[in-house]
Amino acid sequence: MQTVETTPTWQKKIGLAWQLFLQWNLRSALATPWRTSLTVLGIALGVAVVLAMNAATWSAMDAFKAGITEVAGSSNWEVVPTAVPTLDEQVLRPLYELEAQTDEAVKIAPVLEGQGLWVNPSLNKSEPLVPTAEVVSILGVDMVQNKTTDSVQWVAGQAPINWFQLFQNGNHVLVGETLAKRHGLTVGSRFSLLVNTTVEPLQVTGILQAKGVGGSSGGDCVIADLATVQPLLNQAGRLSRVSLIVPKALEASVLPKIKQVLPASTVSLQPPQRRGQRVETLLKSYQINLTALSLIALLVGAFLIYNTLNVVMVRRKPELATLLVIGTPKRLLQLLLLAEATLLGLVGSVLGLGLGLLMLSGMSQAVSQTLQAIYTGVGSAGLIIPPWLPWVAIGLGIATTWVGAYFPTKEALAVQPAEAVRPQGSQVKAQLNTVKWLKLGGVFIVFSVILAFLPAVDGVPIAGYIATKLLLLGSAFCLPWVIKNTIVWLQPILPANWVWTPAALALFSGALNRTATACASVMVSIALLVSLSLLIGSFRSSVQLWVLQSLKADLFIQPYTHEMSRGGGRLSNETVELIRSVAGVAAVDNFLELDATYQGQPYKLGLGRMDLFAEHGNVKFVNGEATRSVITRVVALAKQPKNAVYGAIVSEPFAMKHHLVQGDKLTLPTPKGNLNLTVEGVYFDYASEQGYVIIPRQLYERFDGSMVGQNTSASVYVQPNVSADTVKTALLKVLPPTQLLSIRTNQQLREEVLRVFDQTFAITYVMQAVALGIALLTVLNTLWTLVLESQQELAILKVIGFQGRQIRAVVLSQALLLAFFGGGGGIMVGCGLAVILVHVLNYQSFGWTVPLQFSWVLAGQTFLGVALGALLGGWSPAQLAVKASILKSLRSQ
Amino acid sequence: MPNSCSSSLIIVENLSKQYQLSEPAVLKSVSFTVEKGSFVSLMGPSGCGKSTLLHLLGALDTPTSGTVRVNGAVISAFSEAELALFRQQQLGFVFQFFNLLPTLSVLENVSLPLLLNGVSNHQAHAVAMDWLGKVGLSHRAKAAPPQLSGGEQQRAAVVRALIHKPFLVLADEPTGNLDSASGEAVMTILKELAFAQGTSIIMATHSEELARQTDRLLRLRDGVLVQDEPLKPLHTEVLA
Repeated sequence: MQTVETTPTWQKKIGLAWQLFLQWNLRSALATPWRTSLTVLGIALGVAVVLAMNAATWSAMDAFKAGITEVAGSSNWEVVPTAVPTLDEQVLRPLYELEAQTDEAVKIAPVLEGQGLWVNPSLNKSEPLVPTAEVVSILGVDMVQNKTTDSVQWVAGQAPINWFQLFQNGNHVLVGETLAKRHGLTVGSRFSLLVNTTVEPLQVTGILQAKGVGGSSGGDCVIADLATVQPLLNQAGRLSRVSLIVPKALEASVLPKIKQVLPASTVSLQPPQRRGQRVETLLKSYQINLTALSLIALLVGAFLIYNTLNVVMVRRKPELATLLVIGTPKRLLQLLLLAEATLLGLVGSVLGLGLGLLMLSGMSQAVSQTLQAIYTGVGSAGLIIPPWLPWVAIGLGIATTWVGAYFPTKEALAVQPAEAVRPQGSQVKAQLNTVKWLKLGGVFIVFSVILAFLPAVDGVPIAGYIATKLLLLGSAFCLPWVIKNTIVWLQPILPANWVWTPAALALFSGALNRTATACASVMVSIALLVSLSLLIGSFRSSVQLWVLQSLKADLFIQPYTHEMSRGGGRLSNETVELIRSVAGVAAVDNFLELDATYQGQPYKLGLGRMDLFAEHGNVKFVNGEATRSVITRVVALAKQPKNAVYGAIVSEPFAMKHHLVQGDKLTLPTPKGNLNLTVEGVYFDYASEQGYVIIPRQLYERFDGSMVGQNTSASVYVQPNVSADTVKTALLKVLPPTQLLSIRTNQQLREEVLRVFDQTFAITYVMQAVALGIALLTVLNTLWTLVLESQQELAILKVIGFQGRQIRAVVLSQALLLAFFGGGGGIMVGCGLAVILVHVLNYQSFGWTVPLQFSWVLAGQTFLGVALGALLGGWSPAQLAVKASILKSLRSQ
Repeated sequence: MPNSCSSSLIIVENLSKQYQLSEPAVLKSVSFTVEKGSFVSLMGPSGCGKSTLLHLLGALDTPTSGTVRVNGAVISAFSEAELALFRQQQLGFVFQFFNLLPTLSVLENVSLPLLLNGVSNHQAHAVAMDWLGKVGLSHRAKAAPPQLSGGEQQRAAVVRALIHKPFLVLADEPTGNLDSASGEAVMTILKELAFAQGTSIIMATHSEELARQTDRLLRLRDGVLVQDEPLKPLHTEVLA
C-alpha cells in the first residue's frame, strides 16, 4: 500500500471478521435456503434422536433414583440384603444393642418397601374393581422412633389430626403429595390399592410434602408404620433394609462392630447411594445401546451435513479464491467457515431440541413402560430432562457439524487463488482419488472386523460400537471406487438404443466427487434402516419361537402388581391351593421369582416345581439336551442331604455374564449357609437380560424358610379334554371379590410377550424413520445440484437434438444410479451392520443368542422404496432440466 | 534483457513453468523488468502462457524455475502469511469475469481491501463511496453485483483492485467479456486511476487496439517472450 499507513489492530481484525461473517457467510447461507435448511435439518434430526432417547430413559430412571436419595434422608449407612430381596427383622436385635451401647449416638431405623396398584373407585358396587397400571410405592417405617429420615413436613392443612390412628388402625396411612394431588386426596379420604392379590381399603391420615421421607418415588407413595405395612405386603418379619446414622467420629469404631454382628453372606453394610447403582447396573446395557444407536443416527446426520456442505463449498470455491487473491488470510477464512459451521450446528441443535421434545412425548411412555415392566418396577412421574442433556445434545450437534464440515471445508480451503482467474465453466473439478479412498476404506473395514471379535469391557461392547462406526465409514470410503468401476462395466452392456444412458453415466461419473458422497450418505441411512429391521425381525422371530416352545402351561396366573412391576406382588399359598382345587386343573407349578445378586450383578433366582417342569415344561438347552433329561437330573440332585452339591439350570444371559458353562460350579449365599450348585444346563431365554438361576423350590426352602408360602406366579396345566377358558371361568368364580389376579391363557400370554417386545422396540422405529427421511433428502438435494451444475451439458444435449423426454430420462437415470449405489450398497452394508448388532452388540450386552435371518422381501422392498423415492425426488429436477432455456443455460456458464 | 536498475518494480528472471512432466513447459525461461508506474500489455494467442505468467507475477502459483522479484523481494520465497500480506497491500487484481462477491453489495465489495488493511469501517465506506463516484457507480453502491451490467461490474472490480493504492495491478483480459463501449470505458478508468496514484499495471489482452494504449507491449508465443516493444508513454496520453 502506497499511502494509507495502517496495521489492523485486534479490534479491527475482529470487526473485519464479523463483517465478513455477516456479509459473506451469513448472506451466502441465506441465499441458498434449501441447502442451509437441509444442513440444519440433518443436525436437528440427529440431536433430536439423541435427546429423545436419552431423556426417555432418564425420565424412567429418575423416579426410582430420586426416591432413594429422598428417603435416605440424613442416614449415611444402611444394612441391605445381598442374596434375596428382604432381610429377616431378627437382624435388628444386635443393631439395637449397639445403638444402646453408643447412647443412641448411632441411630437405627428399619424400612420395608413394596408396591401396590391404584384401584379406581367403582361407582357401581356390583361391578368388579379393576386395577390401573399406576404403581404406588408403599413404605413402612418405624413411626414411633423415626430416627434417620429427615423430620417430616406436611402439606399445609393436611397434617394428621390424630397421630395414633396410624398405630391403632391397620388401614391408616400417610400419603405423598404427588399421589394426593393426582387423585384429590385430603386428610380423611378413602382409597384402595391392589396389594399382592387383594384390594386393600386405606384412609389418609396426613399428606407429606414431596421431600424427605415423603419424596419416595417422587411423592407417589403411601407411608405407614412398619407394623401396618408388614402384614399389608404379606411380609411379616421382613425388612427391605435398615437405615443407620453413624456419626463420622464413630465410624472407625462402630462399623467393624456392625459388620461383626451381621450375617456376612446374606447382608451387606453400604452407603445408601449404592442402591441407586444397582438400577444403573440393571439399565446400563439398555441405556448404552439406546445411546449408541442414537449416535449412529447422529453419524447418519453427519453424512447429510457432509454431502450438503460439500455442494456448498464447491460452489463457493471461486469466492474463496477471490478472497485469497485480494489478500484475505487463509486463517481468517478458516475461522469464518468454522464459525458458519458452528452457527449451523447451533441452529440445528436448538431446532433438534424442539424436535426431540416432540419425539420424546411420543416415545417416553413406551420407554417408561418398558423399563417399568422389565427393570425398575417404577413408572416415571413425567418427562424429566436432566439439565446437562440439552447442553450435551447441543455440543454433540455442533461437533457433528464440525465432523461433517471438516473435509468439505478443508478441500475448499485448499483452493488455489488462481482458480479465481479462470472462467467458471473451465474451473477444474476436484478429482477424487478413488484408489486412495478404497485403501482407507479397506483398512477401516478390516479394523471393524477385528474389533467385532474383541470381548466386551466391563459388560459394555465398546469395541463392537466402534466396529459399527468403522464399518459404515469404511464402506462409504470404498464406494467411489465401486461406482467408478461399475459404471465402466455398465456402459457397454446397456442397450444401444437407450441414447440417454451414456450422457447420464458420464454426468454421474463426471461429478463423482459429488455423486459418490451422495451415494455414501444414502447408503449409510439405508444401512441403518436395514440393519435395525433385520435385528428386530430376527429377534422377534427368535422370541416367537421361544414363546411357542417354552410356554407349555394352559393358564398363567400372577398378581397384577407383579405383572406391572417385576419383583413386586406375591400369590399366597392359600390362593395357589384355591387354584389347585378348581375342577379341570391337572397340576399347578407355583413359581417364586426373587431379585437377587450374584458376584455383584443382579439376577433372578427362580424357584419352581421342577418335578412338574420335567413332566410338562420345555426349554431349549444350548447343548441340545432334552428338557426332561436335564430337569430329572436337577430333581434327583435336590434330594441329596444338606451340604451336598445340587443342580441348577441357568439362562444364557446369566451364563454369559458369569462365564459359566454346563458342569461349572456356583455358590449362592442363603441365611442357612452357602448353597453349592452345579450348572446342569444352560437354556435359551429372552425373558430377562439379568439372567435366571432356577432350582427346585423345596431345595431352596431348606436353606431359607422365609420364602415358604411365597409365590410370584402359577402355571396351570389343565386336564385333557378341558379347555383353558372353562378353567379360567371357574377360577374367577371361586376367587373372593377382593382378590384380583391376572389370568392369561397360553395364547394371551404369547400375545402379551410379543406386545411387550414390540413396545420395547417401538423406539427404534423413530430412528428408522429418521434414516429414511435423510436418505430421501439426500437424493433430492443431490439431483437438484447435479441438474443445476450440468446445465451446460444438458443444454448441449438439447442443441444436438435430445428431446424433452430424453433429457428427463438422463436426470431420472441419475436418480436411479443414486438409488442403485446408495440403496444397493446400503442393503449390503446393512447386512454387515446387522451381523455386528445381533452377534456382537446384542450378545455382549444382553447375552441373547439370536439367529440372524436375512429377508429377501425386506431387501427387495427397501431397494424398490429407495428407487421409487429417487424417481419421485428426481421428477422435479428433471422437469427443471427439460424446461431450462438452452441459451440461458449456455450463457450461465 | 533483464534490467535491474533501482526504478524497477518487477524483475523477472528465467521464469519457467511446467505443470506436468509429460507435457511441454507453459513458460520457458522468460525474463523482463517492469518499471514503477508503467502500464504493460501482455499479448499472445490462447494457451501461450499469458495467464500463467500473470499467476506467477501475482504469486497465485509457484514457478518451476526462475524468480520474480517485486520491490526487491523474491515472492516465491514468501510464507503463506507474507503472501497474504503481499496481496493485501501491494497487489490488485482485475479478472475477465469480475469476480465480485455476489452476496456483498458493490460498496462492501470495494471496501473490502481497505478493511483488510485495517482501515475503519466508516472510513473505508467513505473512501469507497468517493471512488465509486469517480467511476459513476455511486448510485449503485448498495446494489448486489448480479444486478449490475457487465461494464458496471468491471468498473467496480477496477475500483476494488485500486482502492488500497497497490504498487501493481494485474489485469487478466479485463475487457474480454464486455462490449466495445464498456470495454473502452473500463480501460479509460483503469488508466486514469492507476496513473493518478502511480500504480503499475500488467494487462493480458487479445486486443491489439487496447495494447497499443499501453506503455509497452510484451508478446508471448509458446511460452517464450518473442517481443518486448516500448510504446507511446502512457502519461503523455493521459495528460493530453
